Amino acid sequence: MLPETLKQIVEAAPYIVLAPFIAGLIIILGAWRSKTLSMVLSVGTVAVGFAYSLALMYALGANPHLAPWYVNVPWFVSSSFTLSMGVLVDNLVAVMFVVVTVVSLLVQIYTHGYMREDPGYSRFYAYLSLFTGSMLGLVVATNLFETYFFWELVGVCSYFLIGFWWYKTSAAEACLKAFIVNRIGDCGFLIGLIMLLAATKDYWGGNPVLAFVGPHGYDLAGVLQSANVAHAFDLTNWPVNLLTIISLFVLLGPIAKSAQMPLHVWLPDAMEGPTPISALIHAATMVAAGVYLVARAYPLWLTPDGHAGTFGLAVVAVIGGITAFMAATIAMSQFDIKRILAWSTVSQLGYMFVGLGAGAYSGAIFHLFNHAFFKAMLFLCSGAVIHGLHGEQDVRKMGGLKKYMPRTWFCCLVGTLSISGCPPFSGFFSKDEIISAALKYNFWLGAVMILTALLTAFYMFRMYFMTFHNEYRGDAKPHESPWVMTLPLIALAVPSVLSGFLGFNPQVLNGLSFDGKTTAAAANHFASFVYFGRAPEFEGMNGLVMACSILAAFIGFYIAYEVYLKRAWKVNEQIAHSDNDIVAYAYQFSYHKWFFDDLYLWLVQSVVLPAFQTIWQWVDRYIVDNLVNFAALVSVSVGEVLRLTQNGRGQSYALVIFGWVAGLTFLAFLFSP
Amino acid sequence: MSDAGHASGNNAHTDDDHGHDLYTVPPFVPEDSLQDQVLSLLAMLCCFSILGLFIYWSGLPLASVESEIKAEPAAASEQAK
Repeated sequence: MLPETLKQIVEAAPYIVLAPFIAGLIIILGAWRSKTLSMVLSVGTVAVGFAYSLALMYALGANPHLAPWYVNVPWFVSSSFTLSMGVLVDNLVAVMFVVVTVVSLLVQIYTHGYMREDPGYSRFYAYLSLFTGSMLGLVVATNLFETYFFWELVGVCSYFLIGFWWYKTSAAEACLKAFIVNRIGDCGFLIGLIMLLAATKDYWGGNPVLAFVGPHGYDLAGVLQSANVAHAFDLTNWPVNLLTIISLFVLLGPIAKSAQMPLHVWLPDAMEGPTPISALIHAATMVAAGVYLVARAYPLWLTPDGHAGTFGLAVVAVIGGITAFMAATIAMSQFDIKRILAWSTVSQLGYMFVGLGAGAYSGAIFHLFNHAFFKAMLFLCSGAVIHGLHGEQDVRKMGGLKKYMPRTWFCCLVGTLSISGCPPFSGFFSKDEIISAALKYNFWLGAVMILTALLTAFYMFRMYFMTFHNEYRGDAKPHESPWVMTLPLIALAVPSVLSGFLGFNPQVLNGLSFDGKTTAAAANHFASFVYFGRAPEFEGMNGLVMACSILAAFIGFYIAYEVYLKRAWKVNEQIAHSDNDIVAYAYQFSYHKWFFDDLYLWLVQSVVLPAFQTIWQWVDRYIVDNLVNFAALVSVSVGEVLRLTQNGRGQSYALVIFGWVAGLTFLAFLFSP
Repeated sequence: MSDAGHASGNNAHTDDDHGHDLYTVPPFVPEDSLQDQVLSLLAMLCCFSILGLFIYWSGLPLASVESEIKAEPAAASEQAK
């Protein structure tokens, strides 16, 4: 292909981002009257977007020098800085384009079957289009302020979609919860941006501020380095510098969006939305936005000269590690099929945070890439099960569905094997990279990640066995979903099996040993395409880590097999009904989601609301009341004084009139030219 | 179906719970319609396209391990030590 054509492909990115917005608006403004037209508009634009993402991958593969390409339009111009809106295309954007458009396209195809009889079919497609456009906008944003703009748009779409069935109280409450929790994170994100702008505005040299990519020395990394050299981040008598504080504020945004502890509580409740949305927003794309932001603005968390090992990255890693473990322990005791998957999403996002925190940039993005496919597929499988059981979501009322839903069963098995980290499925490769990096970063963090891998395999196979094996325990008559719903599952099963090989080079197996030493590094295709800095960095394979993670996955599988398939071990019932206080409390701790909801409810009801009540009562009593009393007092006093002049005697009034006339005459005399 | 809202039949109406029609819901598309077939084909096309992408990606040249500067943060930290 001609170089000019490749360049044109790259430069078409803005139109691809705009197209879903236009489709969404057309549907809202009138096309909703025709379900077919709504569907064609929405699916059509995302199908074009998918074709474009393939072309973009081809263009950047054929000519790596085309990236990064960017264009900026001034949005807010002041004497000291310029905010811009623009489009950035580089290898990371290309990979995210593939993730968003593939998952969105297949989810939209699936939606046609799933929402066929819903009165809000057209409205749903409108929201899907707007969401896809917002997510693509977030991906191509050239600077942090533009990211924030699309970040909020994504949040609004999420609010609409979680509350799609707004007449259900649970859905209305869930969307409100998601909105409030995300606003807490976004508030921190915005404070961080303003602080960053204030600290660095003198170092952008007239270029768009807070830009990820720009002229040499005027991108985020370059400006942070210049500002650091000029001691712009120095704080006297503080243990950390200003950049660390800024990075922690900005991190609040990704923590909320990617449902990391302690702002994770909205995600499982967000399952009140229709299942296609659970697959698109709350599994594959939107929640990955937090991980994407940390990756895109990575220099914020590094030392100014690009090294890991900062306090900010340690916070990222620790939050990720705790979240991954916490969510895995909660998923073990849940019975709602969608909520099990929701908790597994929280856990896997924790893995990605650990990867980024431990400095394994490519590994974290690789896990994001793989996870998007297998988690979207697992959610769509759960939707097919719910559809086939006429709304049943409790895994205790399922079982034996393998013979009724063979296609869904097969895809769910592929997804379960992948997320559990079984070789050679995709989850194995990316999880292994993250665990290796975590172990290198901190032994205990790595150990927690291996333990979490065991729990992951356990709760995923628990869900799988309870759903598809043994006898059917429900009342409804199960049936397989139509092809229009199962073909997207099969389409997602392909990358769930194969995408891992993009991050694997068989040469690393040469000389593989199990003494804890890493083999010589060998390049792989994923990290050759997506990396941070000037050139990729590759890890060798650690035989011991690989063996440990495989063993952990196998142990998790085996326990689930004995307990839920063979039913030889009755530990689940013994734990649930244990007389031992510690065991009983541990079970309740897991079942009640580590009591985070109860804690927040108590905090709001017993601390926040009474505190506000006290403060506002004080303000009302001592400030507002006194202001009103003061105004009344002034009026009364002035009235009292003026009352003395109203005595009813003509002589007094004549004296006043005479006084005014004399005074004015005197003034006129003074100022006459 | 608890997860699928109030699924209505063909030519269903939504109302404001007081018997007032807000708008007439367009008829739903029946199963195995032309739309279903086209979308199914599109899903298959998407599946093969992903496969093609992976094959193309696997054919791209790998970055050289020895000649390139290791610049990923973890490596940079290792070097700094």
